[in-house]
Amino acid sequence: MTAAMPPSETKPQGGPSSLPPEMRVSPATWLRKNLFNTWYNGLVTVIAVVVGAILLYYGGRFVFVTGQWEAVRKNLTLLMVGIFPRDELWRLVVQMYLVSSAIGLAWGTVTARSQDRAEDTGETAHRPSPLDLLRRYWPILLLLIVLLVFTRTIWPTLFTLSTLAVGLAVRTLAIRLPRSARRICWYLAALMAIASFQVVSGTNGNAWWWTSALSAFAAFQFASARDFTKLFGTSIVWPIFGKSKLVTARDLALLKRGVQILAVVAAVVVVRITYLLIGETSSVSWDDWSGLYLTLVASGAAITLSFPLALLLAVGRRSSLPVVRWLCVGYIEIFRGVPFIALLFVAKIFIDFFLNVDTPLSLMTRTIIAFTIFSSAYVAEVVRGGLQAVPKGQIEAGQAVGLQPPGVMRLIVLPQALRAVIPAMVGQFISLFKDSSLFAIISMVEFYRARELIHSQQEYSTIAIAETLVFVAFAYWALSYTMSKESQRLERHLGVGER
Amino acid sequence: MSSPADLAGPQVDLTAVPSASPSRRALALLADLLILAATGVISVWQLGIRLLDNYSDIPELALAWLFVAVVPAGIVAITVIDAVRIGQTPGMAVAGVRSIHDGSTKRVLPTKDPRVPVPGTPALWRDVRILRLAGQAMAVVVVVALIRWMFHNLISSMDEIGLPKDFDFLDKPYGVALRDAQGFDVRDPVWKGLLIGLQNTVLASVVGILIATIVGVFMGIFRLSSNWLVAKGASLYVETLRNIPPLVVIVFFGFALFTFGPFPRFNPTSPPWQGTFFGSDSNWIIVSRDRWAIPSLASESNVGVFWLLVLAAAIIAVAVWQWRTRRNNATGEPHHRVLWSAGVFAVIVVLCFVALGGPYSWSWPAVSESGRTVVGGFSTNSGYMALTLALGLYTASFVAEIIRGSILAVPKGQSEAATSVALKSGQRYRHVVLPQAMRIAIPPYISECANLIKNTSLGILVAYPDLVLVAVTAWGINFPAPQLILLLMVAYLVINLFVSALLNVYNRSIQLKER
Repeated sequence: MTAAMPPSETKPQGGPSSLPPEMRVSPATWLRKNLFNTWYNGLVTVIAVVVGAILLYYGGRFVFVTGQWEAVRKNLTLLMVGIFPRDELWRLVVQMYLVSSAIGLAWGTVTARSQDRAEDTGETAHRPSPLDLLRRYWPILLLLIVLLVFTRTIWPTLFTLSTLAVGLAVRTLAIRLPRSARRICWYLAALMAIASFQVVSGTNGNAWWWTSALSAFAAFQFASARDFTKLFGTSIVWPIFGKSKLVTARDLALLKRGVQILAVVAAVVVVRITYLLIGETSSVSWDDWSGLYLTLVASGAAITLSFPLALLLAVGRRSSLPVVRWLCVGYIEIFRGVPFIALLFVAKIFIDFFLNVDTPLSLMTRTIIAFTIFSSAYVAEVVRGGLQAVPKGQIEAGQAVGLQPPGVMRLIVLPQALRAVIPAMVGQFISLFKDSSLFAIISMVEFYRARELIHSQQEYSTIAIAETLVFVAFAYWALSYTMSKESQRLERHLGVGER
Repeated sequence: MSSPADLAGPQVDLTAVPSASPSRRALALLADLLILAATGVISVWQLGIRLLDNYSDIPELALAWLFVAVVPAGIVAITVIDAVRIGQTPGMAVAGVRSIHDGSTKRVLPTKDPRVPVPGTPALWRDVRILRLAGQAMAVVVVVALIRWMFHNLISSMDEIGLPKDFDFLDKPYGVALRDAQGFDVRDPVWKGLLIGLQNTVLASVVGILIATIVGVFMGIFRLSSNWLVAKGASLYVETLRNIPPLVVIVFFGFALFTFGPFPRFNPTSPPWQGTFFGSDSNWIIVSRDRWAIPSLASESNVGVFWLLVLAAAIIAVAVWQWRTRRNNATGEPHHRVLWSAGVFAVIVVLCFVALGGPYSWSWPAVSESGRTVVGGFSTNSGYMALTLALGLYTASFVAEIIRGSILAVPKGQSEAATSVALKSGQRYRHVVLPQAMRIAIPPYISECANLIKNTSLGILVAYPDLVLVAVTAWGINFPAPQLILLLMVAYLVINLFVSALLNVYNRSIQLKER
């Protein structure tokens, strides 16, 4: 019997088979070992059980019996989108579909890339099981279920399910795409996200210039993809000029530059023409963006906008030029030293004084400016941590191959540093997400302020105070807890601190 | 006869010419410093007088001045230095200079041979020193221009609205009463109100940090408990509180617990809950929705003498401590110095207290005749309770993580080594693990304390008159907001810098003394 066994070296290494056998412990042993190992531990356990039971009893009674959840149920829309005009809610629906497609596209691209890498190296790709996913995302799932339980019609449920379906469908599509199309997928996802905000803000005013700026950036990146240059060359340019004219590397570089310029110009022209064609439509003012929606958008905008500034500040803080270093240290320390409320008051009262604008900026713009200034100081410290984590030998190696200081920074230090700071950036995003609740103090209707609006109604002026607060706290908790767990997972995954 | 040296061209003796004399070098350094200092002083002075003179109208020239003056002056300085030190002007590739950067100023013999590379000082626009100078001057110009532009806009906007641009308003009457501010009158000046706000901010911060530290340390240790239930309970606490915005926590305490909470109101028809000692009329606590009170110490006239005696007792206790230490060093008998010095201190203090006939007596809180306020004792409003409790418990969740992380960060070998020299579990923690964990924990703990201090500004939500609320009220009644916000920011910056300096000193004292 044993002789017939195949030799053990053919057995694939890795996988669950190489793990030690799981210890099976009977419940009684477990109890004795973890709860009653000494007499005082036993006593502590008994006290903890009694306290826990009392808390559980009152908590359960509050949630399921005495809680007046009607206040949340009736004002769910107010909590989610605040004072957003109710006739224009379709814009948010369209945006959700676009964002979900963008996330699906990005997620699918990442999955496909890891599958490809696994294929190349011959390993089996690690695919999280549904149980793993449930374990990772249960707070968000719970939040979603609670929200849907509070809805009064079937439409929100259908909407949620269809959004999820669209995202998953796009993800499946993205995984099936050929490898060459992958780089373009990123920019497509970015474009979708930009377009989704355009849907919400409408076409009025001078919104077109920031849309065209963003689109031009996306188009530039799109055109920089080598596949695209080749495609453009083989299909259009080479047939026109005859192939002999375009063969050297210099020609190709020239072609690439030309394509880039063309793409940027085309993006601006297309956006402008689209705007002219659509004309003045109804739109939603930024100041009407509110509720949980505003909280998410504002913290996302702040972390995105503050990143370039923070990068400059972090690099400047490590500069060898003393004046530059002092300026950066001054900026970082001043804005980290004052409470965010003070900056919010600056934003509310006199940012216009500083900027000398003819028409006052909208409160939303001013708040985002203050939020960006505030968060860039913190993000700069995060990035500095990443820069310091790059071993000195890397920089010296870069210098040894003849790179100039900017080249060392761009090609060697930053790619490693930025990869290392991703988990900390998620942590920073969580704290911005929580800090955005302070917008309520300057009476911007973000998630918390929307809850205050519930109690400004006659009906709920003195009742259900705890219920709405618990609901808001739960929503904040579910989102930040999931993000913090994800960032810890990412940290382990990237192996930060082990390198 | 041909040798490799012949093939390499005429031989150049690099050591033939003596280097510049020390006196010449010193002279060069002096010239360097003098010129740079002079240009710096002149430009700051020029900018300064224009800023002070007429701040709404600084000519762009004043900024350009930096460029016009500093960079050329730097160039002149570098030229002079080079000329003095190595007898050469920049940009002139005269053969013979080895290096101007490594400090050696040896000159080699000029040669006409084209095969010999001709080193020299680089051209002006490639001289690293000049580029650095120009880059920094440029940075200053850009930043100063930006600030100047914003300042100019601010001043002209304030003129337009008619806001005063000075700090004279600080002496005007504040005009609003402050919650729970004893001895503050409506007619008192603004600066006094701001001072009370600052005092309240400090009070909330100190008590908040105390709560955060005590609860945080316990929760951090509980998370590492071998008792499964305790560990899970502590992590439930930490993971819940640290993922909720502090604002929500404060409002929860302020409104759900106090204002609309389960406690009785405080008015003649519904008296607050009063906890009394068995068989006595003294309240040891008064609890209501908006006012809490505990007994406090009321001082007699001889308090000064008492504290002097306490100081003397402390000195004696220190002496006892040192005596026990010496004794331990000399004879090896157990020192028990904590027991000894604390005992001596306590005995002396108690004796003094009795001898002086009680310099302090208890002041018991009681509900006033009108039934609306508390007389006696230490009483505080629910805003203060909510703010300190909420911030303390919220920050405790971060402190707990720091404590847990730093205990886990102590290498396991340390613990094992302690066990192997037969230390018991408690001793292992006290003498081996905790001292090392403390070193790791202090820096993040400092930043959590700073966060708590900044978060006390949320007292505005529960109407606690901290610095921010006082300032906000002030500009609500038309005192100029820009100056008030400036004062606010400076106050918080100073507090934060002070705290971090204080804790850094402590941190340095417990860090490892390395070579």
